[in-house]
Amino acid sequence: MIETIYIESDLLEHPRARSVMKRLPRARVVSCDHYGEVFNPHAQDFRLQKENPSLLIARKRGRMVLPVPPGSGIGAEQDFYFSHLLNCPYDCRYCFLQGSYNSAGLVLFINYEDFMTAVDERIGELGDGERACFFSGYDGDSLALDAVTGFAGEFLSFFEQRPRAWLELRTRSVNTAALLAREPIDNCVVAFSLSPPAVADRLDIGAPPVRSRLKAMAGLARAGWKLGARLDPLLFHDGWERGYKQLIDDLFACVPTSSLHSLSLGPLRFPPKVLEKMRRLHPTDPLLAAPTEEWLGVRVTPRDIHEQMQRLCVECLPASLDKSRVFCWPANEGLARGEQSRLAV
Amino acid sequence: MSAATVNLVVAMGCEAAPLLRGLALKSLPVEGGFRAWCDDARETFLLQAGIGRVNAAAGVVTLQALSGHPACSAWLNVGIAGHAEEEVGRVLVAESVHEEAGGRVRYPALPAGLALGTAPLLTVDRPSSEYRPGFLHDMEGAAFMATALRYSSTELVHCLKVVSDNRAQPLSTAGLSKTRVESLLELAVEDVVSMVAELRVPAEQRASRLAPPAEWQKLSEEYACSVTQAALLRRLLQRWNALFPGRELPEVKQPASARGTAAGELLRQLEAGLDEMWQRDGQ
Ligand code: SF4
Repeated sequence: MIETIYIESDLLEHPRARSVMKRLPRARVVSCDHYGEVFNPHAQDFRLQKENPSLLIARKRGRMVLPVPPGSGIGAEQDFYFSHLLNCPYDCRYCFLQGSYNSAGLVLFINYEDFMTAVDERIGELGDGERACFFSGYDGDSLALDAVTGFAGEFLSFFEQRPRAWLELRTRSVNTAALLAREPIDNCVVAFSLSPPAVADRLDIGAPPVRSRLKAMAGLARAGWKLGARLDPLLFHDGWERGYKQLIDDLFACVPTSSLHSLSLGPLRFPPKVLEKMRRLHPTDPLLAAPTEEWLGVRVTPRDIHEQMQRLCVECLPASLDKSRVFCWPANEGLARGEQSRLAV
Repeated sequence: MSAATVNLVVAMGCEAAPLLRGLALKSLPVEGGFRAWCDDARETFLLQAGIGRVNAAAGVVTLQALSGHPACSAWLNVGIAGHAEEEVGRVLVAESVHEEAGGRVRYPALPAGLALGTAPLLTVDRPSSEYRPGFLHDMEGAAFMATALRYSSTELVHCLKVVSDNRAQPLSTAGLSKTRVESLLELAVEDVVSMVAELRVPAEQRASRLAPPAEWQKLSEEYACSVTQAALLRRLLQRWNALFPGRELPEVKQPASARGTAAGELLRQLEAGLDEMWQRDGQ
């Protein structure tokens, strides 16, 4: 339950801000000049705020659409991300956002039209025959707050008109109402992050159980949406072999391979400073305390362990799944090496 | 000394009096010219800082020392404030704290489930009958907050004010009598007592998170760690305890007496021991 909304004072009358506030009628509203006054100060405790996060309604300024870090693509020639939301109402123990920001406040940038303009600019720069994927869940969960933000509905209508651009909605939520309320579009991938339930129940704090996510995927598949499965990060834990094998079996029991646009795998990975900050926030957490290795400038699960997990997962995939739909981080590494040069639909 | 304290700062003795009774606080020896009180457990402290920004800031610094530099402290500034429209006697918590002099604004992260009303607070240097609409007006809040945030975090530093005057009942040139202030503060005692209890919970959570591992102090002294080495040691010990709770630290083959490189070697061996143990048992 959001108890406090901070809003940049020049947005008080913005129609989208008003509709967000209408959906949270019990929240107190505090106006500020710039969301950074609330979000950026150092003397904040992310853990304490996470128990009662506020919502910050703001206008995104500066660069609206950015290139994704290398190695995270799902087959398009160019990959970008844009963040209408910073932070997340869930509290996954391994979430890198907690090491990235001082505040756990949920920042909602409501100038959607400016994001759309920036997406159009990127599309305009594509070469002949090139397509671009736009990831929307990089700095937060794409759908977790959709009932408040109305993000999916507005951006699906926008992307529907732009076939050279793909929208990836990445989520651990089951908030699929906006999608099910309309016809599916060809250039959207609704990607669900999944881990074996035994570990997700412990670490995906506040997020819906994995079985509910699988059920939501099944519903979307039936409605004709293209899906993504994100086994990223692969989480090393007691019984991981059994856990991932069962998860993959359960996934394909719910989702026909024909509905799966892509499946991606990646190690638990953090920029070094982010990991240090996360360890300070969770000093007693064994997942974060475990040894890591440096790989491509980030700290990752030791590679031999990660590669074992990745290999097992790929081996467990059904034969009917075209392996060119499987993407391993970093691109061109691992078992799907060399098979990522095209969109797989 | 408690790991987490709740520290209250008021400007005047007549603001303190009802709170001392409500919180069962006893007098401490005068420190730096400030009067202060605490409870038997030394978990709640109150200091009478005097009027104005300079006094409020100095009061916070003194109280931090008096309360024994706890790992974590929650801070509450309690006092009277003017407000153009709000009813006299209304108790409000500051949702933003504005400093008239410097223009700086701070936004306390309000506690979950706060039942009290909130309002922006403007800290001014002189009492005035001019009210900025919608704002509480005091003379300490901004300085209190700026200083307390040096020792704590924004979820744990708050200002709670009782409306003492408004446009309909402005301050007379003589101000308010001590008895009047005391009776206004009386109206806030219950709210202050519950806010103190509510702030103590997150303060203790934070204190326990920030507490160094048991072995840290001794090892960092034995090995004469630099500040950076001590921080690394602390992190390593925390990781060890997280991964292998209750298990003895690996044997360090480096005598503590060999100063200079000893601390570096200690860190290297501990990290290697942690990796080795994890490879062997931890997975
Ligand atoms: S759902 Fe994603 S963004 Fe949200 S807490 Fe979990 S990892 Fe972070």
